[in-house]
Amino acid sequence: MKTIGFKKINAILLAGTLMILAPLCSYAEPSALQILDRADDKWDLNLRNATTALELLVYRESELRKSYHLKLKYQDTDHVLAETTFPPRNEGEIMLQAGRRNYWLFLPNINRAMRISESNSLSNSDFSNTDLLSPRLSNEYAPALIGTEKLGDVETYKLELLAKDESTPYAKIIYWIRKADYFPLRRDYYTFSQQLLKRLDMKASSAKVSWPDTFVMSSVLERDKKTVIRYLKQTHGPGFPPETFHESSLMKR
Amino acid sequence: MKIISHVALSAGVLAALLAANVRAESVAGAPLPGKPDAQDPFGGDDPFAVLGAKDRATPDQATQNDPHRGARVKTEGSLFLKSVYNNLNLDSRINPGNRVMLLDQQRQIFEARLTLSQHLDEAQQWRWLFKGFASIASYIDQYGMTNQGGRVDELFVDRKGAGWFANLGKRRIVWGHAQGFNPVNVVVPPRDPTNPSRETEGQPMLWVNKASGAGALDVIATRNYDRNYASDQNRWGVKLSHAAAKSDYALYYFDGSRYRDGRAYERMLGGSFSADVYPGITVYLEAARFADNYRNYYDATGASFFKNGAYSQTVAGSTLNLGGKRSVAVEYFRNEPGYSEAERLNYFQAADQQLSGGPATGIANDFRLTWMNRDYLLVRYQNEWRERYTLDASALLAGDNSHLLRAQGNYAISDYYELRIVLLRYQGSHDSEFGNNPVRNALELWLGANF
Repeated sequence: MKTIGFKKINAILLAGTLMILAPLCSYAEPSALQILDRADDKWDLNLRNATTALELLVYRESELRKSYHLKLKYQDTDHVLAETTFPPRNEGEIMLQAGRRNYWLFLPNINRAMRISESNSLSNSDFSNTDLLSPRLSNEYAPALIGTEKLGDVETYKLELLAKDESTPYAKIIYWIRKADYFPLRRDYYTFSQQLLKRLDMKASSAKVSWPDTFVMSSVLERDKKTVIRYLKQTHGPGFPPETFHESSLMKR
Repeated sequence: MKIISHVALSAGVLAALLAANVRAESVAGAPLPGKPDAQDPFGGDDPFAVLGAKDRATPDQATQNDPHRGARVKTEGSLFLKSVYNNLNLDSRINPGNRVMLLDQQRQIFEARLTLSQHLDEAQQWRWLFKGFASIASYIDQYGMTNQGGRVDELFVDRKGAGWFANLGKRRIVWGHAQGFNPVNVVVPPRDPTNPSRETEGQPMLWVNKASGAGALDVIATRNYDRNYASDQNRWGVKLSHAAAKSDYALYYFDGSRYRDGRAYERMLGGSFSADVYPGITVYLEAARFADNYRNYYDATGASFFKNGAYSQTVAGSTLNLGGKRSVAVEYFRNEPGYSEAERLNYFQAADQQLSGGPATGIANDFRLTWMNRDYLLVRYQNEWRERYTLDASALLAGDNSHLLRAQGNYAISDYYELRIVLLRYQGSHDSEFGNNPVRNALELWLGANF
């Protein structure tokens, strides 16, 4: 009887402890991967099955030097088609991501499609293909939460993303994500020689928008230069036919 | 003076356009939090401050260029004023004293290109397209081609369905992915390996494509149309391709009915492969085997003969992205039907004999650049500076140690206007391919407008 009494007391204590700790557990910090995925959801999920018109602006010393307009058909993080609609000299050029690490460029004047690397620059800007076309990073990089940090007045998670292998364009990315809503704010890109290469800053253009639609890429090598991408118009649909993202579709332009 | 006045006019037009587009819009939303920080490699400034500047497109401006918007006729065009200065090679053994080809030393040319297209239905499945080229001056360029009057490069109707596509009409399609040489590209006239941006004429065809996640099948039926649309034999081809992550493969087959004189068509069986092997590095391989060889060869007496049997052509190359806008491409071309050293000497001796008496052009037509040797190496470098200047330089080295150097510089005056300068230099011995090119050096100056 004595033993049974102790068991009952232990059970009551255990249940009580769990009841006290349970609410605390729900406030535990999410894992680095969860933070990364939630932040990338803000960008990636908004684009899914959408046709987006965007402008790409190249500034030097705060003066607009060159502008491009692109039409982006985005199915998912591995299937994207970006067609240049301005300027006339580049009109009809198509950048295609036909699968993971499967990038193509189509030049309409000579009707030619060729495989390109994911690290090639997008429309001769500071953005590489993968910077714009593949916003989701967890496929290529292993995240680690290295702390929280104030970016200005905003509390952020600071993640360190290390390349899973050397076939990625960057060895390391430092990623700042707003704690309050997992909004992605900034990425610093590092080379395999651990040199800081460039920085991407992101924001929403208005309070009505909850996803990043304005991006500024700054290069360490060319300090007076910034490349801006702004999403201008978006149309969501049921999805694209699968052949839209097939390499052979480029010749049918 | 003409060029200078065009530049001034272009600059004036550009200034007016920019002035009309200036907007003092503020950017909605709060800027990214950040304070100036001396330790920050980017200076700690607000990165979005640049957006308070001018010249942003509005959504309407950006989307009005949508090529698939509505059912209106879409128009693209370009105009070029071109001055060509040729330093003729009067010692060329295929054009001695410029008596055979009668090339011009200097020419002013006006070229116009126009593309019209329209979707015929709301679902944008049906479409027609016209692409034409016209020149108001006749001339003979360094490639030996005469541009006179007009040319229809493309005129077709096509339809996209769920997983399939069909085209009827004249169209340019390119088989193969190599940068310079494309042995498998037999449907339309071959491209110029030293001038990759050179546009060529299409070919009337029925083309059906079936694509799925596993790959794509292309079937082409055409005839041996020439520029006058005369035709007498059927041609057909099949391409089977598969693109996977980081690599792709394709098989090609092209065949046709016999020539009128009974010779079999030069049936082609080919394959291509390309892969993204490392960040910034792609490699490719392309090979074709042709069943027959109807090329003229020459013996020591100057008599021509055919080599019966099959031959192959192979290309292996790689492109290397050097960061930003810089890239290098290296390509090796093995051309089995090319002349050996002895065959090349025989050819030039035969040319000496035949052309010494007068402008007999038959043997001169056997001189085809990038066909006189069995081995070629192409090296190409591209770069862009400050969003306005581009350089495209290439060197093509032949097995006989002759070479062609080409440098092209572009200056973008605006989004619509550009200046271009092209320098060409053909160099080699008296017994070599490029050493006997009818043009030794060439300079081209372009003023172009795109709209």
